[in-house]
Amino acid sequence: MTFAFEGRHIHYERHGEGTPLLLLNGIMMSTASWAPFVAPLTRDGQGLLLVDLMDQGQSEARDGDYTMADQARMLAALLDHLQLDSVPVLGTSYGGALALQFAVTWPQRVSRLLLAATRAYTDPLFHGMCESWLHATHAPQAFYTATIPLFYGATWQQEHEEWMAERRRVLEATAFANADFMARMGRLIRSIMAFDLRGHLGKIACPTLVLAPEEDLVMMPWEQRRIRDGIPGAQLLTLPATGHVLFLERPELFVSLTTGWFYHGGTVAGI
Amino acid sequence: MSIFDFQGKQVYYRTVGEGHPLLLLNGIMMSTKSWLPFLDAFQQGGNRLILVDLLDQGESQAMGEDFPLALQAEMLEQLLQHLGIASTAIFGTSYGGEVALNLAVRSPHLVEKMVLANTVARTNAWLREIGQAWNLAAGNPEAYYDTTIPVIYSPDFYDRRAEWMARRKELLTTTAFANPDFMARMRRLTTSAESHDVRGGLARIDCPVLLISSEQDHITPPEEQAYLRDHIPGAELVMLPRTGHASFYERPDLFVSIMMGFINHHDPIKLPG
Repeated sequence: MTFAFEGRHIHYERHGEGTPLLLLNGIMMSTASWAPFVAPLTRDGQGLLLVDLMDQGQSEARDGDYTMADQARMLAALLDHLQLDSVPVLGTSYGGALALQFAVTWPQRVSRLLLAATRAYTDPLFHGMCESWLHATHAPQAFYTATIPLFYGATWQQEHEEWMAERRRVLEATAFANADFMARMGRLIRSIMAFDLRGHLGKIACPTLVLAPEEDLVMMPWEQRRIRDGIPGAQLLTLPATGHVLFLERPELFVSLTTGWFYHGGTVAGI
Repeated sequence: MSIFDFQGKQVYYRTVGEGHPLLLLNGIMMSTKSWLPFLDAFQQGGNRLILVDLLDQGESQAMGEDFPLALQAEMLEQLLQHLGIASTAIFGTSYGGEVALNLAVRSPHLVEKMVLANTVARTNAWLREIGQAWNLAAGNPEAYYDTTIPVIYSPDFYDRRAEWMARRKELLTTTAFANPDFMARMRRLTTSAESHDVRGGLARIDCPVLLISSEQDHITPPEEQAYLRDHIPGAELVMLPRTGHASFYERPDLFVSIMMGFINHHDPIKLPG
C-alpha cells in the first residue's frame, strides 16, 4: 500500500489486526527485510505496520537532503493517514534513532518503545564513520568493507565465514553497484549526521527497553547506556557475543524479546 | 495445595491455570508462596503453572538428613509422572535453576524449554565457602541476614529500596531466620548444593535454553552463565545491567517480559541466504 507524503509515494504494509506494532528499519533495510519475522510476530493475531522510510525499498526516491525530523514528520503523516493516535514502536539502528526522534516530538503517539542497537546522538566518532561511508558510495567493494564488517558481531562472523562471503558477493554485485540505491544510501546517511537528541530524551514518557549488543561497533554499548540514562524509567538489556544486526544474528531471541516486551509487559504488584 | 509422596516425604505442590505446563523452580530461600506477586503475569501466556516446594522448602516435609541436590531432580521426575505431564517448560532461578539443570541432564525428554536465571553449572570451591559462611551464621538471625541478604541485591537497588529492605530485615530476623526448623532446612539445602556439578552432562541438553545473567551478581557471577552458554548447545544469553543476584525481584516487569517471551514465543526462524 502507498500514501503520499510531500508529493512522493511512501510504501507501507499492514499485517494482522488491532493496533499495530510499528517496525522501523535500519538504514539498509526495507519492509522486505522483515519478511521472515511477519509470521512469528503476528502468530497470535497481533497487528504489524511496516514502512519503507523515505529513500528505502519501494518508497519513492527523494531528490534532495532531509533530516531525521523530516522522516519523523512522514511517520506522523502515515499514522494520521491510518487514523492511529498512538502505537507501540520497535526501532532498530537508524529506525531506533527515528523512533527516538518521533517519540520526543510526539510523546503521546508512542505507547511503548523497544530500541535495538541505536543511538540518540551522532557524536564525532559516528560522524566520522558516516563520512567514510559517504566517501565509499561510488565503489562497491569500498562500501562493503566500510560498512558490513562493522554490522555483524565478531563472534557471529567467525562462525559464518561462508555466509558472509556469499553476502559480500551478492551485495557488491547488486545493491552496492546500483547507482540509484547508492544515491538513496547517501541521502539516508546524511540525514542522520546532524542528529542530536541529547537533552530531549526526558520528554519520552512511555515504558522503554533498550537492547545493547555487546559487540556492536556502530551503535556502541555506551550509546545504549546514554539512552537508558536519558529516558525516565528506561531499562537496558545487554546481549553478550552479539553484533549490531542482532535481529539477523539471533532471530528467535529477537522475536522472544519483542513479543515479551510488547505482549507480556504486565506489571508485577507487591514487590 | 496438594501433597505428593516422595520416598516417604510429603512434597507440597500447586498447579494454577490451564494450558501448556510451566514448572517454576524456587531459589534456595524461596517457596511456592514467593511466586504469588507473579502469578497473574505468568498466566498471561495461557500456561498451566506448576509450583512446588522443593525438598526442605516451604510446606514440604523436612528432610532430617543431608541429601544431594540431584535428589530434587529425582523428586521432580516423579512429580511430573504423578501429574501425567510428559514434558514441561521450566523457569528456574539460582538453586532452582541448578535443580532444572540436573533434571534436564538426567531426563532431557522431560524438558521442552528452560529459562535459567542466575544459575551455575557447578558449585565451585569459592561458592562452597560462601555456603559454609551461610551455615556458620545460622543460629544468629541478624548475622544470617547480613551474611546472606545484602550481597544478593545490587547496591543501587538496596539503597533505592532501603525502606523495603529494612522491613524485610525486620521480618526475616524475627520469623524465618529465628526459626530453628527453617534454619535446619536452610543448612541442609545449602549443603545439598555442594554436590552440584552437571558440567559433564550439559551437551545432552537439547531444548531451547535462555540464560539470564545479572551484571552485579556476586553469588553466581556472569562468567558462570557464559560457561553454560558455551556448553549447552544453542543456548542464548542475556544480561541485566545494574542488577544483582535476586534479578526477578529487582526487575520484576522486565523479567516477566523476557521470561514469558521466551517460553511462549521462541520458534525456529529461517532467514534467507
